[in-house]
Amino acid sequence: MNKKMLIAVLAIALLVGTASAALLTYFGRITTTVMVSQSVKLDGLGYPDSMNVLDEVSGVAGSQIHGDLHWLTNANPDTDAIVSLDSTIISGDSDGLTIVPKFRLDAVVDQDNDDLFVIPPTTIWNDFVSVSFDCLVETGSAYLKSPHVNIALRNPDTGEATCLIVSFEYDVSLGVWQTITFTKADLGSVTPIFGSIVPTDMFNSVSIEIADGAGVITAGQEQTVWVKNPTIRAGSGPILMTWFRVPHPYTDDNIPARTVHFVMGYDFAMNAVAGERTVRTEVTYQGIYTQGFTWTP
Amino acid sequence: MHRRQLFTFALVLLLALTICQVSAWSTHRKPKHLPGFHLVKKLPKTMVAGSTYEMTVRFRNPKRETFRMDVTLEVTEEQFDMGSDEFFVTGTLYAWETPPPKHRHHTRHQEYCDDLTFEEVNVGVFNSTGLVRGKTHNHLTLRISSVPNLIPDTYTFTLTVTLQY
Repeated sequence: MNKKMLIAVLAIALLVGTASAALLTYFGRITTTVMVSQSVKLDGLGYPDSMNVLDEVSGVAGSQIHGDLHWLTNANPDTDAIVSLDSTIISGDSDGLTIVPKFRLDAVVDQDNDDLFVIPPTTIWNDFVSVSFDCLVETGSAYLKSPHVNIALRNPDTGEATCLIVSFEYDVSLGVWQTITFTKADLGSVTPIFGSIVPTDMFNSVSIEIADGAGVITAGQEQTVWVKNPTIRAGSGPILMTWFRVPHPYTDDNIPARTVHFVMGYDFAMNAVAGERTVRTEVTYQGIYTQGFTWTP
Repeated sequence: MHRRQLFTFALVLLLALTICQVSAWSTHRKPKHLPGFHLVKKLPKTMVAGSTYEMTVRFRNPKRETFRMDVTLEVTEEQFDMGSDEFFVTGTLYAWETPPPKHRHHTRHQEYCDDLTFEEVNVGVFNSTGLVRGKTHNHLTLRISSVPNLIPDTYTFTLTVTLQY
């Protein structure tokens, strides 16, 4: 009995010794403190002031008004941010009031084209029907052309950009809102990057660009254009593209900062109830733009 | 030897072993400092939300054995409460048997390279654990990303690397 106990005791002692040897541990620790600054700012303001637009809205039935001009910038050195502008009527009657952001694009001599980069829903070229938007040329009587559309396609398997498709521009009138629609037939100019158009290619990005897309803006092409309601049709009904990119700063001299300028537009229906409304529009971050990012509405 | 003597001897032996093991246990339980552990590339003093930044530490493997490496990065915020999924962490371990050339980029010429997957095990606490082939010289690079709407504030990053044999 005692011999058995002795063996058991020795076995336990051996196990304890083995276990303790297995727990030989080395460790190192480093602590770093970092200030994190905001990437996307509204009107140059920091958190928490910069997160929303508050407008007191008072209009008559059938009228269209807009709030003050605002701008979004992105301090991120290498990545575009994706945001949306989401409005809520916090006081007053919500019936008969449509709220849409209107984006301002500026063509400035010796700079690259100004673009609004909207995020398309998941779409393949085969299903694409059209892309449309409303535009108003505010200044630039020498160059009365609508913005054109650039669509970048990518291979759905490899993620490689395949080609860039560019539309032509329409002749437009000064100071009048017009709806511009581009169908497949209107997207004629294809710049191959790693191939030509394949029916299953995915949409990578849709940009609405003013002035001649061939290069920097030349004298005579200056214009200021407002754009709203970017919409895509692809197989099913129209989808309003409400997410857009706030580009990071470019280092190239010719490429503008591409600050996103916008106003909130308030359209009163003919049967809208008179009275004042308070509308708050939040700048909602939706993510970081990466190649192949698509939006599922 | 009589049974009683045998029993007494066994008890003494057990007591001695226990004392030795407790001592050995406490010695081994107390972690030793990782040889040569220091920062090679530090995070910038200021970071922009939504960007990715790298930090690299180096250390020497004290034993020529495969080890279990536990890497924990704890992120804390000074003024506000952190939420989960605000940061994302990936990492790579580069290793050499002989000291790596000083003026060469550490991602080249490594004899061993292992990508590390981090999981947010608690709010702001990222962990990666795995067995690592024993090489003497090791560089651990972490890539830290944040969401673009991260609240501007002062953040503290505490990196702990533990090797177990």
